Amino acid sequence: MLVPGTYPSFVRALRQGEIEGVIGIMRKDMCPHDLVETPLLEERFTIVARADHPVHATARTIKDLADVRWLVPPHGSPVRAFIERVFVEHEITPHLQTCEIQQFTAVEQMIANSNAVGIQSYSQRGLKMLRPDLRPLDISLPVDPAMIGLTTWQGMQDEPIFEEFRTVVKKLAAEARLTAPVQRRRGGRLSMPRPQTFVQKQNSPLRLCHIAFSTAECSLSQIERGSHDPGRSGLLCGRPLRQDRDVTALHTARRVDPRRHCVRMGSKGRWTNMFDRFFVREDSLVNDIENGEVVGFSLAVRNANYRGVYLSLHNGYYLSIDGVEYGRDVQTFEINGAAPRDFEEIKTAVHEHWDYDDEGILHVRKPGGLAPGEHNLRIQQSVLAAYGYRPTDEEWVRNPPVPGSGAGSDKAPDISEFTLTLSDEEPTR
Amino acid sequence: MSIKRGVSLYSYQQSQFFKELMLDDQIAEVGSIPGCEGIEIVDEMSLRYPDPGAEFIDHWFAMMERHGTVPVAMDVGMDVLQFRDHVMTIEENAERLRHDIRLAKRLGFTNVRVLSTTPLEVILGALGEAEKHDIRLGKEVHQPMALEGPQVTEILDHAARTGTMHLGIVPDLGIYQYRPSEALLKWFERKGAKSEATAAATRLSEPDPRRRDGRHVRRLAAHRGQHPLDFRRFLTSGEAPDICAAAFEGIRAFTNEHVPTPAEVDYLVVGEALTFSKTSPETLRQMAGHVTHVHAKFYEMSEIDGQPGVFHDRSIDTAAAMGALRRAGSPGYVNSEYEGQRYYQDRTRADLMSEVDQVRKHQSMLARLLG
Repeated sequence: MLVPGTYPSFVRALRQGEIEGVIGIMRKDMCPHDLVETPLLEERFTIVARADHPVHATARTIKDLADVRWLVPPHGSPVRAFIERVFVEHEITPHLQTCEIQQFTAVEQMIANSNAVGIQSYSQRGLKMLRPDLRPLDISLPVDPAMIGLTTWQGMQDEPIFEEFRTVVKKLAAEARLTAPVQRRRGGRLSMPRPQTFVQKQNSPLRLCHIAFSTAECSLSQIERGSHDPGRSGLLCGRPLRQDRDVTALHTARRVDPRRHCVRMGSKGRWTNMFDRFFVREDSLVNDIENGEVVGFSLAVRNANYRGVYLSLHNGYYLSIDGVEYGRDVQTFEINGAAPRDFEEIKTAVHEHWDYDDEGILHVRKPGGLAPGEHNLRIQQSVLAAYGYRPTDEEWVRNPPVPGSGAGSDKAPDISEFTLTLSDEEPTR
Repeated sequence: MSIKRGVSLYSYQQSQFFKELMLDDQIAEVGSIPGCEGIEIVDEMSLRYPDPGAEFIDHWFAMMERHGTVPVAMDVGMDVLQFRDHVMTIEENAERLRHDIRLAKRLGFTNVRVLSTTPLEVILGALGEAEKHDIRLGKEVHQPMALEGPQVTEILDHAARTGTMHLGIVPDLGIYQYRPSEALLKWFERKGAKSEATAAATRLSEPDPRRRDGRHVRRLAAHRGQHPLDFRRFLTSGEAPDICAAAFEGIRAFTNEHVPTPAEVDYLVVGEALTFSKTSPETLRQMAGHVTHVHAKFYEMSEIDGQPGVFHDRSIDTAAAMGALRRAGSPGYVNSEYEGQRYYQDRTRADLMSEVDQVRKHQSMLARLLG
């Protein structure tokens, strides 16, 4: 069941227990205090047009799109904020909204049937399964991720069925993250993802981000099989029935508040970040060699703060190199003269300190390592440092934030970009 | 006995990050500033923590002697997720604080600053240890807090009730900020804020009520020290704590009136006018006996119009605070705490600020104000 609505209305519904969760682009520091956001997967803002649109041949930069007709989501939505910021940065007057559509699939339909271009967020897998009559534009955009998360009310006790739903959603999100990246460039052009059928597209986990399930009309098994019918639209349903395996999830807000442009800022009081351009040492990228074999690569990092922390608080990195993500399961951290430790072990270093002056080495397991030459690095350090008790404390003991979401980072909550050159000489350290 | 001057080495955080000025160099730098002798540190920034070792302690005192400096205060933190499998209890936090008090004592400090967010129970759980080592515990009073409020009152009440000499407050002079700093406004402009918006923010912050825009400011009158995040949340979700709703609407209206086609960043700049503590210098005078030492926070030193070579921070009324302390006649340290460097860290390394230069200018201003 599709449930259009506004972010504030969902917030109220969450508090009243009418709904149990909202899935959509995370509000991060703008999320109300009493709600908890759990990151699921990262999507990218993507401009799409119909597959045979002439704009594919003519547009190379965002400026080339200044005069086309745009379908943009309403003011206040993260997607709208993103594209307006891009316009402003390129000194293009942001477009007025000509058509307000709150529903993801309806936007796609409208784009397919018109000369308009649109922008939405897609996961890698979602792009791969883009309907065949649409095609992403090969326009480079700032790589700010749209982090999709599950928002719940912090006072909520999960019903067993919702707990199960969480598990399934997380599993699907993890699968989506593992899917190979779409953006393999071939001669400077995006290679066209080979779309599957429309029906299958709707079944992708991505749809979870944009479709609401009512208790009555969709069960977990349907989600797992992808056989739910998103076409049946209706109103917000009441408190979930305790029907076996029934769940509730909601479409996130498309319309929040007018007249805003969004500017990327840190989430701390002053919105400034510390050292986020400097905490990775620029000449530090090397391949790791063990017994004559390249087993991975490593780089040197500092604490992006004005102080050190107990090592246990260090919660790993969001790391993406040339579009490929490397999760914490392949990361180890070398500090204080000890052999590299994975972040489960680091978590237990509760009496050991990472001092402010010390550089640590982040190792990443990747047989064969990286090729010599330049690499685009996107990285965010997660350190669970705090100023006293915070509302998220208990949640972070149970579910530490996944690096990259902006949660669980003190002075550098945003993903930073670096261009590092891997030398093909033997590592010296 | 007069007020003495010192520097919090926090001011040199960026120089230390880039290893341009390490601890010994920082102490030497402070010692070389005329009339300045006090040293304040953040334990987890300046030290090998939690135990810097006996050799370091000897070295530390040798440095103090060599440069004519005096250990004044150690600032300590409170990271409640250290054990990761549970949130630290009050007692566990108190235990860490007791450890920090002993460490401060070994380094010759006489004051330990705890964060403004430290619960009173944690402080009281360590007060006995502080008394034993003759260390004063000072709770920081930081913008947007004010001196007038329960977080300060509970400290003073306890001190009055028990007569303890080892519990007090550390006012951070950010509470005397009355307009957005130049560093912050320039940062906002690099983020796309319009010059009309930064001008509006400054205008709304005008301390002279006769020159302010009365209609809007009246709606802000009851308002004090709002966290910027609350305003940003209001812009996005329309949600505001009841007490702030009218003020937030007022800021929005003021922005719409003074800024052509305002964007979010423009509202945010103007919203800066909401973050000031509006605390009274007279309150500081009355509380001076409970002040362990002062964080003389500043963001940017600039030349006073028409007075070449004479500097001030245009956004913080340091003069009023110093006047209050002088009138109270209580001795103690006022330590420069520079925090403007981070507003330039979105730029390249070559464009970063010189912390040494900023602190020196601030010290010359303090010398002027303290006579």
